[in-house]
Amino acid sequence: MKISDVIIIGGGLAGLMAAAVAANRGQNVTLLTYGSGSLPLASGAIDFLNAKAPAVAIKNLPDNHPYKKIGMKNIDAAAKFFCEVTAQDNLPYNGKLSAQIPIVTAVGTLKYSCLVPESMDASNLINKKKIYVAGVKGLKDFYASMLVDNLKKYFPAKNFEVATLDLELLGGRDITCMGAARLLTGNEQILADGLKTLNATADDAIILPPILSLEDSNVKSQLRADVIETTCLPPSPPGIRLQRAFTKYLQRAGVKVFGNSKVIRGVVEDKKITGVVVKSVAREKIFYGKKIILATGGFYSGGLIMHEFDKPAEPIFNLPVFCRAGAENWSNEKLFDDKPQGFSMTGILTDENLNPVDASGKIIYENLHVVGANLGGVDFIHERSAGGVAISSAYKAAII
Amino acid sequence: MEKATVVIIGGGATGLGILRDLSMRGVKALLIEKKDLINGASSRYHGLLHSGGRYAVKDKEAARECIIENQILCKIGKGCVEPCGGMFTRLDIDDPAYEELWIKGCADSGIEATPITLDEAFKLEPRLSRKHVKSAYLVPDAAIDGFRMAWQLIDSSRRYGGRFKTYTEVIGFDTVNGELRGVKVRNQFTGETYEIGCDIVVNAAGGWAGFIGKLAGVEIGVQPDKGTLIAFNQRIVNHVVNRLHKSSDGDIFVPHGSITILGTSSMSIPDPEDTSTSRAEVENLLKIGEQTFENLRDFRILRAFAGSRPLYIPPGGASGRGASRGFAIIDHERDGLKGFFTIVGGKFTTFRLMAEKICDQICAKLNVTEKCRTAEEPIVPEVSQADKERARKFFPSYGTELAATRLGVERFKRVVERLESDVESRELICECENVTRAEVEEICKEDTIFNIDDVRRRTRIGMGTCQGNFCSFRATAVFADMGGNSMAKDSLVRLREFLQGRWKGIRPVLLGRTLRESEMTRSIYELSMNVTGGEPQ
Amino acid sequence: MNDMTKAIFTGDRCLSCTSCMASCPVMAAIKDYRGPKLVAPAHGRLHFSQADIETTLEFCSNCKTCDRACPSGVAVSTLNMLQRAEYYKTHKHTRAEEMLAHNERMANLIRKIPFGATFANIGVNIGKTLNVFDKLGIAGERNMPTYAATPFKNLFRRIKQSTSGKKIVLFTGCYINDNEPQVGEAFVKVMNANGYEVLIDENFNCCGSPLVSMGFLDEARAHAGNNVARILDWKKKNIPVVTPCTSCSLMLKAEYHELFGEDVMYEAAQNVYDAFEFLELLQERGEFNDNLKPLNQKFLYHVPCHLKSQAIGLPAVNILEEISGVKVQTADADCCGIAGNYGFRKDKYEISMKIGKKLFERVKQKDFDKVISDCGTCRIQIHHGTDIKPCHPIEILAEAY
Repeated sequence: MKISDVIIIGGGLAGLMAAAVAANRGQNVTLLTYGSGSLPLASGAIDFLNAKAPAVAIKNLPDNHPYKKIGMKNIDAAAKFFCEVTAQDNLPYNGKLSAQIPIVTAVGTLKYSCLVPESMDASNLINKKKIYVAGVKGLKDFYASMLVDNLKKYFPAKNFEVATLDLELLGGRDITCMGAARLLTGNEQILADGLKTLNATADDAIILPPILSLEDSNVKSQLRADVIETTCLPPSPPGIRLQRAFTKYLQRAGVKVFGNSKVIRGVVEDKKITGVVVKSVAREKIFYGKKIILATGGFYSGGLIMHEFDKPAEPIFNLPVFCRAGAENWSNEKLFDDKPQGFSMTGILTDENLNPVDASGKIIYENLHVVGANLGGVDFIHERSAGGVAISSAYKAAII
Repeated sequence: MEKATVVIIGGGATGLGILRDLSMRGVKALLIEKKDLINGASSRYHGLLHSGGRYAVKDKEAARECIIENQILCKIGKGCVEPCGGMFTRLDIDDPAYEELWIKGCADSGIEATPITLDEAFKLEPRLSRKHVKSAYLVPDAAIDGFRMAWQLIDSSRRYGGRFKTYTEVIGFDTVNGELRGVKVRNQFTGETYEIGCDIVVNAAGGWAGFIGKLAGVEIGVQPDKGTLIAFNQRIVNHVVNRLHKSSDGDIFVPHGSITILGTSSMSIPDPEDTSTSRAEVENLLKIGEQTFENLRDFRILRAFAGSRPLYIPPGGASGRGASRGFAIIDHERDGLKGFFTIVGGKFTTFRLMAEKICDQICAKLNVTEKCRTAEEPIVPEVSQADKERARKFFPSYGTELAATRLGVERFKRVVERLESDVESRELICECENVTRAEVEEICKEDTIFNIDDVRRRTRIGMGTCQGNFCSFRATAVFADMGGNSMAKDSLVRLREFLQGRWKGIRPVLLGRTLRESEMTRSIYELSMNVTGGEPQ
Repeated sequence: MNDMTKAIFTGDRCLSCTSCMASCPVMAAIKDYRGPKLVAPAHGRLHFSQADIETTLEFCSNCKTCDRACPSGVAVSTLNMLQRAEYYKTHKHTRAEEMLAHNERMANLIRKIPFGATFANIGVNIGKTLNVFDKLGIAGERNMPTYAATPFKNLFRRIKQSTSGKKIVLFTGCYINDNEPQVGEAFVKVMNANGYEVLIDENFNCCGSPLVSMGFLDEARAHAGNNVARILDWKKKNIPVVTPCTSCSLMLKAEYHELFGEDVMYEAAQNVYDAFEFLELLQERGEFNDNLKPLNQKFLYHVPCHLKSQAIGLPAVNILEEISGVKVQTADADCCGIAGNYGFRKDKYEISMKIGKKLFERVKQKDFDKVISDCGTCRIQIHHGTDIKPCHPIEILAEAY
């Protein structure tokens, strides 16, 4: 019977991060994933908090906020480690926790995050003379003219030009940004050559959909102008690049990553989880570990479920789930609102060590730590803190 | 001053039926609707083309009307009707004595009700409760798509010179000596008010008929009666499945293309604008529904929606389920207002008959001798097989038939031509319901399209599995590009307003997999797209 | 068993999140395929109401990467296969499809001829030179698997085993029986070393995997019916059925039930084990014979897609690393591209090689002594793409006893 030092359940950002941190500390790590996690949906940027200076604003959060339990020191260390992992895979991230960097969204608004992929960093847009927006023939999810109309509101005085590149995508199925990025991976020269025909200078910027190669893009280095990728509809290449960077890190670090492995319950001894049971085909399989990190996500990822109103559940360990019961508290009348959505605050409450606790604050399992989107009490989307909480809670859980 | 012989108020099935009927008889008619067409009870219902079985015990006359109209609509509205057939099932908790009455009622009303064995029933409908279902009958129910029917009625009316204006609200009437001269209206977007001169006004405003009556100074006994329904993500039934008992809430399942609708409830409300639905109503429908289909809660719910039936309450009459589903035509000359008619009550299945009856009266007034032809002439010509074959080369699978009946002959032809010549227009804007960019472009260009919801009602974008998560962005961009009016360019507002519309129906069913879908909506549109344009505070 | 585990009901779980599209290896290789989401769950909603065919369905290789990417448990590839079967209700199979789906039938035919296998192999070579394959629609670039002179089932009778109270039935699968009997021999040696007597059930059919992926669903169902009855017979005697072929084990353990939805299929599945899964269970119970000779070798392990789908971890790595001096490195290079008979089709050959490129490049680094993989066609593909001949991990383990 083999016993891992750590078993991590969940292959989203939090799970990958926890596995990387633990492996980096020399631990024997098993990562169990089911489905490809939420990174294919993600913008690729890591939001920390909706504030001009998140590092300061985090300090002013109430004590029961996950960030307060994680502690500023760990949040800083998590951001640093995250950047190291991505840099190793030639996926540099820009930014710091004391400021926000703008990126251009697919609809032409700006979005602000603390850590953004270098290829999306739009900080310099303001200093540029001319902004080219490069659409691609046959690319489905990029609408240059709508993007320009909306982006102009931020930069009314700037000169915009819409261009359309032919990257030979026409003639088959619909090509999404991810489809284009995959087809261009390894065949990127056609994109570089197309962008060169714009004759953009070092004073200009070219905005394009996120279709740069999924690994080791060299398009930027061939052009004088800044090349800036936007966000896009899923599947999102920047999110998937991040997933790949972490996966490669884990492979190098010898982490055992098992896909398609749906964990259905724990093996419990007193107040400890000694193993987790995976529903494999036709039977169950137990993986044993000394420490368990629960990174199964919120409702989207199935880390939380709710079959009947007001009865949310954590399906693996049946942990108590914080929930704002009642129709009036569950959701706001407006989808995009200036207050948090009740349903998104659903989740598991923990102590300082991210151990799950019951209503009286008593620890339920000593060696189980909860990270990422299944933490309760906060609407991470409203607060713009999903990425930051994911990596910093994962960091803390992995080093405890 | 703009003029028409007859102004019809209300763009629901009844109003559209009247527009078509009058136009076919050569009467100059104009329909005005304060929102988009087919936005009231005519689309906010379960889309059941009754065989009459449901009324066979309580109201044999209504039942007879239903079966006759059912057969007519199957003939003239092929593209809108799905002849899926219906099944009545009695559960163990239902009164067996009612079954006897029902069999007799069907026979008396001319409705063919064929008893089948339970084995046959479970074979036809494998998800039926083996525990509860005790007997089953087949009837000629069908599903009818209210949206498609509306667009076809409009296309047909236009061919005969009929006109319509949407987003145009009635604010008053012009009368001289108790005789109607015109209708005062307001454009909902510009606020501009003007008058349309006419000889006759038909108040076909459904649940709003009472308000229109008030504007004209007449009293009309209309009780808006809210019915709530649930749309499921997939077809969970192959037939319309009815409970064989005294009509009640949540006892009808109707398969519609890719989805299933469960309905309805019945609740008197003061304001027909109230299309809100609540968690409690949803819970109630599910509780009843799962008596027939035990695993009902395992199926993904897309949304809940509600519409208000315009129940006609004659002085001293009953309301709610007790009220008659029959219709009434009132010539308000009796109230001292000449040229003002109201048609109220009834049900979608009999809209054509209702239109025929009132048009006969109007034509008599106008001395028009032309007879009604709406029962014989197909609403729209069918798209030719040749055009469909051309389309099949570029349409996604399962897309051709759906688009052909949605678009009609001319639009379909233009869409196919665009698909042939413009490769990029072949992409799917909506991957759940298979709607191509060419079709969305075609619709966006029409002068009656003001927002993405208007596009949705004509194409089905945003009505499938992802409830707009993917197509809203795409459709907004296409509309911004192609839309003929200034509202189109305001893309972020259009996008948010569309997603908000989807949200309204999702909120009451925000559980299970719908919760997951909504988290995805927020992740895409708040995080990746920042559609509110918010900046760090 | 709940109804909802049948593939046909899982489509309702799709959120349209597109994770399957982001991971599909065929979509990365070509522009023609519309992708798993559109073909299976999205169209699945529509085909309940009308009949139509998605023509790009033919590009699905049934590698099941989409199923593993799906966060919602949709049996995407199986839904595709059900649709493919619908397609062939109204369309004829090509001769290549007929041939490639019926490996078992062909092998039986060949064996009826004296020296059949030798002739078959010569025939295969001649056929290739004369471009006959190309005309049939089979990729001319490929070496067809050669037929072993003696099928494993015959060879097996000659193997001397001591009787034991502990017995297992070996489900050989077609490839081991007809083309690589040495894998079967290695399996018997390993099981004997662990105190098990190996039995063979001559009445088993091909598991049906090649039939399913070519749209011969009715035939596959007949095979399933027979195999499931056999497995249940053995189950009654408390004798498990074990197979070293990962596509066979996935078929027997999971796909029968997903496709056809009968409870007995699920019941039978519980008596079927992948070879290394079985050995790992022995190890967990402390019954594994770890008296192994040291082997100072480094292995590159290509994990077959159909093993990944079983969610049993990597038991082969666990067991082989019991051998002192052995190091196993996973190739981590995704699908090899061949997907059973997919890569043998002339019109799919290029796609298959494009998908395999990443794995070929990894193998060509040659920083190991041997490549191992549990799946017969994966081994063919690696050999074809790199000229390096892989073996089954059970052959390594057998060497250590």
